[in-house]
Amino acid sequence: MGNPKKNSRNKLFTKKNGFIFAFLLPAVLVWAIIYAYPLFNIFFTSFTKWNYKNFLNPEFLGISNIFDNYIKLFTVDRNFQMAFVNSMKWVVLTMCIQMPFTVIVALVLSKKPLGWKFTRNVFIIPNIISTAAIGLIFLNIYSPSRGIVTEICNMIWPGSDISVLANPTYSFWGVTFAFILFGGSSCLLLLTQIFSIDPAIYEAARVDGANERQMDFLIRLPLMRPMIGTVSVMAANYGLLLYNEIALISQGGPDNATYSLSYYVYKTGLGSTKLNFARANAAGVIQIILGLVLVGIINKAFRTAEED
Amino acid sequence: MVEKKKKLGEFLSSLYGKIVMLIVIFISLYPIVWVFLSSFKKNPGGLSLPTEWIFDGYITIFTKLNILTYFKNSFIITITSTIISVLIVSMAAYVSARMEFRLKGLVTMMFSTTLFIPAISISLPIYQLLGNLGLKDTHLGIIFIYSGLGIATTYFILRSYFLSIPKEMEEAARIDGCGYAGSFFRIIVPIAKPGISTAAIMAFLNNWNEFYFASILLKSKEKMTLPALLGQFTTAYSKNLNGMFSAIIVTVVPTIIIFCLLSETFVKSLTAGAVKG
Repeated sequence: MGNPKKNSRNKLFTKKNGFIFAFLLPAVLVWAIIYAYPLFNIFFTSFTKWNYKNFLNPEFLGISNIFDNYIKLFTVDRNFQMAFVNSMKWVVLTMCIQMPFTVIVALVLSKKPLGWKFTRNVFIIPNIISTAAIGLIFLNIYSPSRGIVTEICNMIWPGSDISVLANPTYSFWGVTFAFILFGGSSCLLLLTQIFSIDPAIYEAARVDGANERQMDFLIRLPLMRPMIGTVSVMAANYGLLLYNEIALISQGGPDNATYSLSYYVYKTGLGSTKLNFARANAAGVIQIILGLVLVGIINKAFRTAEED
Repeated sequence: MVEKKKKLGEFLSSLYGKIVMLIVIFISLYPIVWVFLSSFKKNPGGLSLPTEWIFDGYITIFTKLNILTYFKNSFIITITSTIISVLIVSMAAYVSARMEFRLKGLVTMMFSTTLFIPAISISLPIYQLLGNLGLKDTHLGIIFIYSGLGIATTYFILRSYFLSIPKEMEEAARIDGCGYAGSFFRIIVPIAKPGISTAAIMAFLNNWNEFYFASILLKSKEKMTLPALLGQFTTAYSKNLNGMFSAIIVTVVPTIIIFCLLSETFVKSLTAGAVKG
């Protein structure tokens, strides 16, 4: 007949398992549909021929030219090459402009001068309002007829009549300055890290005669290092994935001067007449790989010193 | 002499601090202030202040454009998807924080992968899938996507919060005859309110501002969210300048007001969201 005690434990065991299963199921299902399935899908279709001509039946490229889409992206696809270079530039620029700027602001605010909280909160505003709105605002700022950039340039250099979005170089910088200085949430995280530093360390430094500037360089910056790493990953990712600002300000133009990888994926897979799904998905795979490589590099740069 | 030098140093460093703060305030606010002032001009734009204050743009967007419809759409979509995602992810996070089972590591790993998968890279299959299900251009489709997009951040915020709640809470509940689900919904959820609201604010903010999926999936005007509507101003409504400037202000001002009222809560959410993610 079996041991009743064991029996009840068995029952409990299955009930518990049922509970675990039921509670995990919805989230795992959503994950599977929104992330896992599309991930496998883009990976496999990136090895097929699949464009507007054979919309319904992607054809496998065959083992001999399995990397055809990837090779074409890097050899013949001018839009992709531009997108690749631009996205890399945006990653580097976030590292060279946004990060130092944000760190400087965090160091200044960390001394809690008058109005530091107000400044911190104001700095966050561009990060919490919709990027669609930001994009639209900058579209207007750059407009020659109603914007302010052309007007200001004309004051400094009469008759220059600069049209930001008509010139490839200016257009690139126009898109860049629509996001690159907005490091408010990063600044917030850096501040949290600075405030968590043991005050005894400052006391000790002060006794040794260190001034504020020395404490910035010798105490705050080194101790902020892990958080700078975290924030850099987020900033670099933003640069790598840039889309909204481009879609609203320049639509990739003029010509293809402001294409990003994300914009390329959209344009190639959804936003043109000669769609090429396979190539868009191959670009998506490349974007994911680049993201992983970036995270790896940044983590290594900011974490190794800690372990030494 | 030394004293003088020190004073000068202090003065310079406080001056430097003030300049940095002024620059930050300027770059953060000038775009919005400029649009705000321009929205009242007869011909929006330019550097000058409005000579006469005109409210045409605001009147147009509330009457002809029916901006309240877009507010309603945004609100319904954002609220529903935030509730769904916080609910299902909190269930999963609770189980993984509290229960022992095989494949536990796998569950956490699965959700962490989403941090490394940019939504746009995988957007074509999602788009096609929704098309096949007949959910393109529907609120249901976009709610479904939003429910899944921030899964990792929500998961990590909630999991660490559940881990911080003492186990005795549920043990006491279970002795009193509460089932597993009962003790979760009746005991844990009320205790975990701060963690849940942190996660919910992050999810709400992201879904409220989401532009990409809204712009590719919602094609009928009456179904659009606010960000998708703003996208329309680059093409369909580009002639209506007063309307565009007013629409930008009407879209961003509620967010800014709520942020000003609840800035400490927001600051906590933003911190938790990024650190755990």
